[in-house]
Amino acid sequence: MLKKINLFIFVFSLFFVTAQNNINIKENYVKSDYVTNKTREIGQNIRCLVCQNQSIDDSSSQIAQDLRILIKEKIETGSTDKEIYEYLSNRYGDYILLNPPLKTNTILLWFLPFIILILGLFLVMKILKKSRFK
Amino acid sequence: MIPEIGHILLILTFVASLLQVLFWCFNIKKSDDITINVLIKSTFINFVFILFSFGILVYSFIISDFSLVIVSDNSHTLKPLIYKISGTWGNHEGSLMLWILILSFFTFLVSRKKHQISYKLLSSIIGIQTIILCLFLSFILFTSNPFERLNVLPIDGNGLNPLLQDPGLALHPPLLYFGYVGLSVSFSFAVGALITGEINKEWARQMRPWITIAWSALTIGIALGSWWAYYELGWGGWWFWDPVENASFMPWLIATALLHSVRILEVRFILINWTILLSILGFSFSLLGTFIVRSGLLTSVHAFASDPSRGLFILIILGIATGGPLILYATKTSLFKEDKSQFNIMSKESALLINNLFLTTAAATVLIGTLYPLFLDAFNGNKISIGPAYYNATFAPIMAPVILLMAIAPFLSWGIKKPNKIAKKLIFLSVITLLGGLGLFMIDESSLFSIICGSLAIWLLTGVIVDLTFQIKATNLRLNSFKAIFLYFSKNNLGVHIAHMGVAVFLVGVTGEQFYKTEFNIKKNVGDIINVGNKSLIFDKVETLPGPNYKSETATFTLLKDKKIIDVLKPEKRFYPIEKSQTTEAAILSDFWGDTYLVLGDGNKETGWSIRVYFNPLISWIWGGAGFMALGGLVSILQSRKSRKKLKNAI
Repeated sequence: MLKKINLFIFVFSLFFVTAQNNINIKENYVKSDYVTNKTREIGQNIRCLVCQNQSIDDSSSQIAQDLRILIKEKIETGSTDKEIYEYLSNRYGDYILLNPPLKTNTILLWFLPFIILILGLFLVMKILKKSRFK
Repeated sequence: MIPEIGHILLILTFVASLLQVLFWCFNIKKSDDITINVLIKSTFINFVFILFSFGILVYSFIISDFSLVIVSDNSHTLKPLIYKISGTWGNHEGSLMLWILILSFFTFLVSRKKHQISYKLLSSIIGIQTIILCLFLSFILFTSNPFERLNVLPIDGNGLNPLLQDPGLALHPPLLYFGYVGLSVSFSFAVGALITGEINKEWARQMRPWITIAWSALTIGIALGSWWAYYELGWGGWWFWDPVENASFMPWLIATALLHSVRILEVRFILINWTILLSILGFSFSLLGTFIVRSGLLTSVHAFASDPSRGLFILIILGIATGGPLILYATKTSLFKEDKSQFNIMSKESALLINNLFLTTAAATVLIGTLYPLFLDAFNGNKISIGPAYYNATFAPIMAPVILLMAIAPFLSWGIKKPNKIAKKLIFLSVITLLGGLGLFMIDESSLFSIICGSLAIWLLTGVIVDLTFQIKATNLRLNSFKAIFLYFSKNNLGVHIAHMGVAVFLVGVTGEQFYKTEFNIKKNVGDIINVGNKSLIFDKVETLPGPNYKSETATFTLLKDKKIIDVLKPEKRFYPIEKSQTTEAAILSDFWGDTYLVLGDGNKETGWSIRVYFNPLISWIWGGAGFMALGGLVSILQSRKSRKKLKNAI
């Protein structure tokens, strides 16, 4: 028994060691540059309009570079995330937002999966309840 | 002359398959030796003809016969041989040829199961498969003829999209199609059952290996595509929720659900209608995937042909192949009576049923996310984009319970039998997961999702290990020799454990990549040093080098860890003059614990180059996990074959 527990501890500590290594890198990075980090975070949710299904964070195209600079400047002047998203969607339309906002035309998009799930759960529960082994 | 032979072979097969379908329709009620033998022989002839026709197409690519439209459009004399061959299916017409080749191959393989499948069912299966073949052959002959000639012979070809000139992508389409088309077999089994009204445990037993092999091929195909995107596209990511990726992922989710429901059917003979429906849906999703990719409805790297008439044709095929069986399903399911009072809540089948629900809902979610922008655009002209954020909010929470159940389901028993030592196993599992979760919390308390995702991985991994350990203990077997271990494992559901472990390994990779990666995008010049934690990169030089059909700008970096040299990384930018396009070749140093990923951007000696550096911890576990999943599938096929043989011998 003890041997087995030891083995488990060993396996999981291996886990932590790697994650720990990477965490050190991450922390230095966060401290050194909050703005870059935030720009990247927002950039991941903004579509590069001239690319094929890429975010501006992933793309090296000119428009993506320009938008990154624009977002960076907005963060530096104290705009909130919401203001930046709104600014961009006003200028380029909702198409630019990779995370579609909840509006009347996206209600189905956001809720349909969960409606299907709840209906399905209801059905399965009915089957399971009705049919106890006799 | 030779391409014309290929064309004639295709036309012959088309006519022959039409006749076979008619022959089957007139003999649908008969199941004598002559009828079945005619059908079986014809599947062989179809396969051989298509094989030759396909061979001729490959040959035309190898000798660069530029009088053919698709060769001159997609090949070039300077291209390496392997890409000349893989270029055959790197275009619309050729990929359809590959599709029908695999379809006729599968049909041929099923037809050889004469001694296992009843004649009535087998003739229906062959009939349905031949109808699908017929539809696709007409599609090829009427809209996408691969043997079309050019009037004026060009001096050289246009070349193949350089992004596709890659070993991973040479194998990705065949494997993916193997999966797609493999699902046609379970589709035909289901429709055959609807036509003949014949369904029993043996039906499920015969069908399961086909689903498993298709599922395994699909798993590897998707993983290869993802791996290719990771190293070739140079964005450092591995999955983008691109419509084309979704197109292959939906059939995979349905096939996964089907794999489990057919097992319930095989053991307990319940959920007949559900299994039939899933079999039909699985192949429908494969066709939908083909439709999405081939119609150019959604643009991507794959959509090499955007021709509306083709799109319409595939839509018609999709309509026939999905609508027909679904109508049949609606009218015929009352045929199959199953005993309704057969569920015990604490049983394996209940767990699998609930998992089925979550998996199909997940597939529906991906479908909604993929098609919603299209429908919205058609409906009121509003254009929206759906990115990873949507799937993180919908798909991920729907899949999380699947992982939870996956660890527990193997603990449970079929039917009313009380599960063995379940309390002990659950306590063991929970304690270890809690400890693991706590560990993850200590590493990074700020990210709740990384803790959840990591804990799920630990939960599943522990679940598999606990179940295996208890099983080994329960048998009292001393696994001291290789033979004993082998015998033991061949008796148990090792395939399931391997596949489930694959999912756990995959999740470990996802956790590492999603939550612990670091990336930089910086401008540096030769001689500069980039320091990241205990690692540093020295920018040595940039040189221009020639390749077989491209020119390369290669940078050299030395990677140091704790001031010791580990490796030299050489990211490249390649310019293909024939195709007039550029690709980035990331330099990746991959090991067990993670990747260092380096991309060379634009720049010159004066201003320096823009460089992207990614540290992706544990990312190779993602593909390793997929490998384990597929391996689990293969092992379970071998096991079921073996147990069948044993059963035969015992009788």
